[in-house]
Amino acid sequence: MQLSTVSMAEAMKAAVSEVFEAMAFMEAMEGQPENAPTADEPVFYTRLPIYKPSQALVGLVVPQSLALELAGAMMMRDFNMDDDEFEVMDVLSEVANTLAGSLLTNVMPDGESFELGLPECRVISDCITGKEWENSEEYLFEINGTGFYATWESA
Amino acid sequence: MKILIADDSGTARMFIKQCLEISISEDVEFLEAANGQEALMLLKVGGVDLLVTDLNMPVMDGRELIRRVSASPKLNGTPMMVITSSGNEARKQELLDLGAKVVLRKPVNPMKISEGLEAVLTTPEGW
Repeated sequence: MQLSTVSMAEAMKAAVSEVFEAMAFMEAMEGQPENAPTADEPVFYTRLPIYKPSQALVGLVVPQSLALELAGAMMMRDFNMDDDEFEVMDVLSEVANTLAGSLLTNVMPDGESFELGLPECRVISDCITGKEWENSEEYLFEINGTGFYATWESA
Repeated sequence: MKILIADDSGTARMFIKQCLEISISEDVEFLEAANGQEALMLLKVGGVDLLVTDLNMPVMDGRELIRRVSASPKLNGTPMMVITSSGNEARKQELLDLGAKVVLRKPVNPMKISEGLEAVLTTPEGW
Protein backbone atom coordinates (compact mmCIF):
# COMPACT_ATOMS: atom_id res chain seq x y z
CA MET A 1 0.00 0.00 0.00
CA GLN A 2 2.20 2.80 -1.25
CA LEU A 3 0.73 6.23 -0.78
CA SER A 4 2.33 9.61 -1.08
CA THR A 5 3.24 11.33 2.19
CA VAL A 6 0.68 14.02 1.46
CA SER A 7 -2.10 11.50 0.76
CA MET A 8 -1.43 9.60 3.98
CA ALA A 9 -1.25 12.80 6.02
CA GLU A 10 -4.58 13.97 4.64
CA ALA A 11 -6.20 10.56 5.06
CA MET A 12 -4.95 10.31 8.64
CA LYS A 13 -6.21 13.80 9.43
CA ALA A 14 -9.67 12.98 8.06
CA ALA A 15 -9.80 9.67 9.93
CA VAL A 16 -8.64 11.12 13.27
CA SER A 17 -11.10 13.97 12.98
CA GLU A 18 -14.01 11.65 12.14
CA VAL A 19 -13.26 9.08 14.83
CA PHE A 20 -12.70 11.42 17.78
CA GLU A 21 -15.71 13.52 16.87
CA ALA A 22 -18.03 10.54 16.47
CA MET A 23 -16.84 8.45 19.41
CA ALA A 24 -16.10 11.10 22.03
CA PHE A 25 -17.45 14.40 20.71
CA MET A 26 -13.86 15.70 20.81
CA GLU A 27 -12.38 17.96 18.19
CA ALA A 28 -8.94 16.75 17.17
CA MET A 29 -6.85 19.15 15.13
CA GLU A 30 -3.34 19.23 13.76
CA GLY A 31 -0.93 19.47 16.66
CA GLN A 32 1.60 22.14 17.49
CA PRO A 33 5.12 20.85 18.22
CA GLU A 34 5.13 22.44 21.67
CA ASN A 35 2.12 20.28 22.62
CA ALA A 36 3.67 16.97 21.53
CA PRO A 37 3.84 14.13 24.10
CA THR A 38 6.91 14.37 26.34
CA ALA A 39 8.83 12.10 28.68
CA ASP A 40 7.14 13.86 31.61
CA GLU A 41 3.94 11.88 31.25
CA PRO A 42 3.35 8.17 30.52
CA VAL A 43 1.62 7.37 27.24
CA PHE A 44 -0.73 4.63 26.15
CA TYR A 45 0.66 3.10 22.98
CA THR A 46 -1.90 1.16 20.95
CA ARG A 47 -1.04 -0.56 17.72
CA LEU A 48 -3.05 -2.59 15.31
CA PRO A 49 -1.73 -4.69 12.42
CA ILE A 50 -3.16 -4.51 8.94
CA TYR A 51 -2.87 -7.78 6.99
CA LYS A 52 -4.47 -6.91 3.68
CA PRO A 53 -4.02 -5.47 1.09
CA SER A 54 -0.47 -5.34 2.47
CA GLN A 55 1.10 -5.49 5.89
CA ALA A 56 1.23 -2.29 7.90
CA LEU A 57 0.75 -0.98 11.44
CA VAL A 58 -1.54 1.77 12.63
CA GLY A 59 -0.84 3.23 16.05
CA LEU A 60 -1.98 5.77 18.59
CA VAL A 61 0.29 7.38 21.20
CA VAL A 62 -1.88 9.12 23.76
CA PRO A 63 -0.67 10.78 26.98
CA GLN A 64 -2.25 9.36 30.13
CA SER A 65 -4.26 12.50 30.96
CA LEU A 66 -5.80 12.64 27.50
CA ALA A 67 -6.46 8.89 27.54
CA LEU A 68 -8.43 9.25 30.79
CA GLU A 69 -10.33 12.21 29.35
CA LEU A 70 -11.10 10.31 26.16
CA ALA A 71 -12.33 7.24 28.05
CA GLY A 72 -14.48 9.44 30.28
CA ALA A 73 -16.02 11.22 27.30
CA MET A 74 -16.82 7.95 25.53
CA MET A 75 -18.14 6.03 28.50
CA MET A 76 -19.73 8.98 30.27
CA ARG A 77 -18.07 8.51 33.68
CA ASP A 78 -14.84 9.46 35.44
CA PHE A 79 -11.78 7.26 34.93
CA ASN A 80 -8.62 7.01 37.03
CA MET A 81 -5.43 5.04 36.58
CA ASP A 82 -5.70 3.14 39.88
CA ASP A 83 -9.00 1.47 39.04
CA ASP A 84 -9.47 1.77 35.31
CA GLU A 85 -6.14 1.21 33.54
CA PHE A 86 -7.29 -1.89 31.67
CA GLU A 87 -10.58 -0.33 30.70
CA VAL A 88 -8.74 2.69 29.32
CA MET A 89 -6.63 0.27 27.28
CA ASP A 90 -9.81 -1.29 25.92
CA VAL A 91 -11.17 2.14 25.01
CA LEU A 92 -7.95 3.02 23.16
CA SER A 93 -7.94 -0.34 21.41
CA GLU A 94 -11.45 0.32 20.14
CA VAL A 95 -10.49 3.83 19.04
CA ALA A 96 -7.41 2.48 17.21
CA ASN A 97 -9.51 -0.20 15.55
CA THR A 98 -12.04 2.34 14.37
CA LEU A 99 -9.28 4.71 13.27
CA ALA A 100 -7.63 2.00 11.18
CA GLY A 101 -10.90 1.18 9.48
CA SER A 102 -11.67 4.80 8.78
CA LEU A 103 -8.16 5.43 7.46
CA LEU A 104 -8.23 2.46 5.11
CA THR A 105 -11.71 3.32 3.92
CA ASN A 106 -10.35 6.76 3.03
CA VAL A 107 -7.34 5.47 1.10
CA MET A 108 -8.62 2.28 -0.53
CA PRO A 109 -10.55 2.16 -3.78
CA ASP A 110 -14.22 1.28 -3.22
CA GLY A 111 -14.03 -2.21 -4.66
CA GLU A 112 -11.09 -3.37 -2.53
CA SER A 113 -11.46 -4.84 0.91
CA PHE A 114 -8.93 -4.84 3.72
CA GLU A 115 -8.24 -6.97 6.74
CA LEU A 116 -7.36 -5.70 10.21
CA GLY A 117 -5.73 -7.58 13.06
CA LEU A 118 -6.47 -7.25 16.75
CA PRO A 119 -5.20 -4.21 18.66
CA GLU A 120 -2.65 -4.28 21.48
CA CYS A 121 -2.26 -1.53 24.04
CA ARG A 122 0.37 -0.88 26.71
CA VAL A 123 1.52 1.94 28.93
CA ILE A 124 4.99 3.32 28.24
CA SER A 125 6.47 5.45 31.00
CA ASP A 126 8.85 7.40 28.81
CA CYS A 127 7.77 8.04 25.24
CA ILE A 128 11.20 9.32 24.24
CA THR A 129 13.49 6.46 25.25
CA GLY A 130 10.72 3.85 25.09
CA LYS A 131 9.64 4.81 21.61
CA GLU A 132 8.41 1.53 20.15
CA TRP A 133 7.02 3.27 17.07
CA GLU A 134 10.37 4.69 15.97
CA ASN A 135 10.05 3.18 12.49
CA SER A 136 6.61 4.68 11.96
CA GLU A 137 5.52 7.93 10.41
CA GLU A 138 4.18 10.17 13.18
CA TYR A 139 1.26 12.51 12.66
CA LEU A 140 0.81 14.98 15.49
CA PHE A 141 -2.68 16.03 16.58
CA GLU A 142 -4.01 17.75 19.65
CA ILE A 143 -7.20 18.00 21.65
CA ASN A 144 -7.61 21.00 23.94
CA GLY A 145 -3.87 21.65 23.83
CA THR A 146 -2.75 18.09 24.61
CA GLY A 147 -0.86 16.45 21.76
CA PHE A 148 -1.00 12.85 20.64
CA TYR A 149 0.36 10.89 17.71
CA ALA A 150 -1.35 8.73 15.15
CA THR A 151 1.27 6.53 13.50
CA TRP A 152 1.59 4.54 10.31
CA GLU A 153 4.21 2.00 9.38
CA SER A 154 4.35 0.13 6.08
CA ALA A 155 6.01 -3.27 6.02
CA MET B 1 -36.99 -7.59 23.02
CA LYS B 2 -33.72 -9.44 23.52
CA ILE B 3 -30.59 -8.15 21.77
CA LEU B 4 -27.26 -9.94 21.65
CA ILE B 5 -24.16 -7.79 21.16
CA ALA B 6 -21.02 -9.63 20.04
CA ASP B 7 -17.78 -7.66 20.18
CA ASP B 8 -14.43 -8.46 21.79
CA SER B 9 -14.19 -4.92 23.12
CA GLY B 10 -16.13 -4.20 26.30
CA THR B 11 -15.96 -0.55 25.33
CA ALA B 12 -17.63 -1.22 22.00
CA ARG B 13 -20.34 -3.37 23.62
CA MET B 14 -21.10 -0.65 26.14
CA PHE B 15 -21.07 2.06 23.48
CA ILE B 16 -23.40 0.11 21.17
CA LYS B 17 -25.69 -0.71 24.08
CA GLN B 18 -25.96 2.97 24.99
CA CYS B 19 -26.79 3.86 21.38
CA LEU B 20 -29.44 1.12 21.20
CA GLU B 21 -31.00 2.23 24.48
CA ILE B 22 -31.38 5.72 23.06
CA SER B 23 -32.89 4.35 19.85
CA ILE B 24 -35.41 1.85 21.23
CA SER B 25 -38.41 2.88 23.27
CA GLU B 26 -39.50 -0.56 24.47
CA ASP B 27 -37.85 -2.65 27.20
CA VAL B 28 -34.73 -4.38 25.98
CA GLU B 29 -32.73 -7.18 27.53
CA PHE B 30 -29.10 -7.15 26.43
CA LEU B 31 -26.88 -10.18 26.18
CA GLU B 32 -23.16 -9.82 25.53
CA ALA B 33 -20.56 -12.05 23.91
CA ALA B 34 -16.84 -11.42 23.46
CA ASN B 35 -16.52 -13.53 20.30
CA GLY B 36 -18.51 -15.45 17.75
CA GLN B 37 -18.37 -18.72 19.62
CA GLU B 38 -19.86 -17.22 22.77
CA ALA B 39 -22.50 -15.51 20.65
CA LEU B 40 -23.43 -18.77 18.94
CA MET B 41 -23.89 -20.49 22.30
CA LEU B 42 -26.19 -17.72 23.50
CA LEU B 43 -28.15 -17.78 20.24
CA LYS B 44 -28.72 -21.52 20.59
CA VAL B 45 -30.35 -20.97 23.98
CA GLY B 46 -33.02 -19.12 22.02
CA GLY B 47 -35.13 -16.00 22.26
CA VAL B 48 -32.71 -13.52 20.68
CA ASP B 49 -34.58 -10.99 18.52
CA LEU B 50 -31.55 -9.22 17.08
CA LEU B 51 -27.86 -10.04 16.77
CA VAL B 52 -25.50 -7.07 16.59
CA THR B 53 -21.97 -8.21 15.80
CA ASP B 54 -18.49 -6.96 15.12
CA LEU B 55 -16.38 -8.72 12.50
CA ASN B 56 -12.89 -8.59 13.91
CA MET B 57 -12.98 -10.88 16.97
CA PRO B 58 -10.73 -13.63 18.34
CA VAL B 59 -11.74 -17.33 18.54
CA MET B 60 -14.56 -16.98 16.00
CA ASP B 61 -14.90 -13.85 13.93
CA GLY B 62 -18.15 -12.17 12.96
CA ARG B 63 -18.06 -13.40 9.37
CA GLU B 64 -17.98 -17.02 10.52
CA LEU B 65 -20.70 -16.30 13.08
CA ILE B 66 -22.97 -14.90 10.38
CA ARG B 67 -22.22 -17.83 8.11
CA ARG B 68 -23.13 -20.33 10.86
CA VAL B 69 -26.31 -18.50 11.85
CA SER B 70 -27.43 -18.38 8.22
CA ALA B 71 -26.65 -22.08 7.77
CA SER B 72 -28.56 -23.15 10.87
CA PRO B 73 -32.23 -24.06 10.32
CA LYS B 74 -32.91 -23.05 13.93
CA LEU B 75 -31.16 -19.67 13.80
CA ASN B 76 -31.36 -18.45 10.24
CA GLY B 77 -34.34 -16.17 10.86
CA THR B 78 -32.37 -14.08 13.36
CA PRO B 79 -31.95 -10.52 12.07
CA MET B 80 -28.28 -9.59 12.02
CA MET B 81 -26.71 -6.15 12.10
CA VAL B 82 -22.95 -5.84 11.59
CA ILE B 83 -21.07 -2.91 13.09
CA THR B 84 -17.49 -3.00 11.90
CA SER B 85 -14.47 -0.87 11.19
CA SER B 86 -13.94 -2.97 8.04
CA GLY B 87 -17.18 -1.90 6.45
CA ASN B 88 -16.25 -0.72 2.98
CA GLU B 89 -18.50 -1.46 0.01
CA ALA B 90 -16.81 -4.69 -1.00
CA ARG B 91 -17.04 -6.17 2.49
CA LYS B 92 -20.57 -4.86 2.97
CA GLN B 93 -21.87 -6.72 -0.07
CA GLU B 94 -20.15 -9.92 1.02
CA LEU B 95 -21.81 -9.71 4.44
CA LEU B 96 -25.23 -8.98 2.99
CA ASP B 97 -24.83 -12.00 0.73
CA LEU B 98 -23.95 -14.10 3.77
CA GLY B 99 -27.17 -13.11 5.52
CA ALA B 100 -26.57 -9.84 7.39
CA LYS B 101 -29.47 -7.39 7.03
CA VAL B 102 -27.58 -4.21 7.78
CA VAL B 103 -23.88 -3.34 7.77
CA LEU B 104 -22.76 -0.19 9.55
CA ARG B 105 -19.24 1.18 9.45
CA LYS B 106 -17.63 2.36 12.69
CA PRO B 107 -17.64 4.95 14.13
CA VAL B 108 -21.34 4.73 14.90
CA ASN B 109 -23.58 7.07 16.84
CA PRO B 110 -27.17 6.76 18.09
CA MET B 111 -28.59 8.23 14.86
CA LYS B 112 -26.67 5.81 12.66
CA ILE B 113 -27.76 2.86 14.80
CA SER B 114 -31.34 4.08 14.82
CA GLU B 115 -31.32 4.16 11.01
CA GLY B 116 -29.83 0.67 10.98
CA LEU B 117 -32.54 -0.61 13.29
CA GLU B 118 -35.21 0.88 11.08
CA ALA B 119 -33.68 -0.86 8.09
CA VAL B 120 -33.69 -4.19 9.93
CA LEU B 121 -37.30 -3.66 10.95
CA THR B 122 -38.47 -2.77 7.47
CA THR B 123 -36.80 -5.62 5.59
CA PRO B 124 -39.35 -8.31 4.72
CA GLU B 125 -37.76 -11.00 6.87
CA GLY B 126 -37.24 -8.69 9.84
CA TRP B 127 -38.54 -9.69 13.26
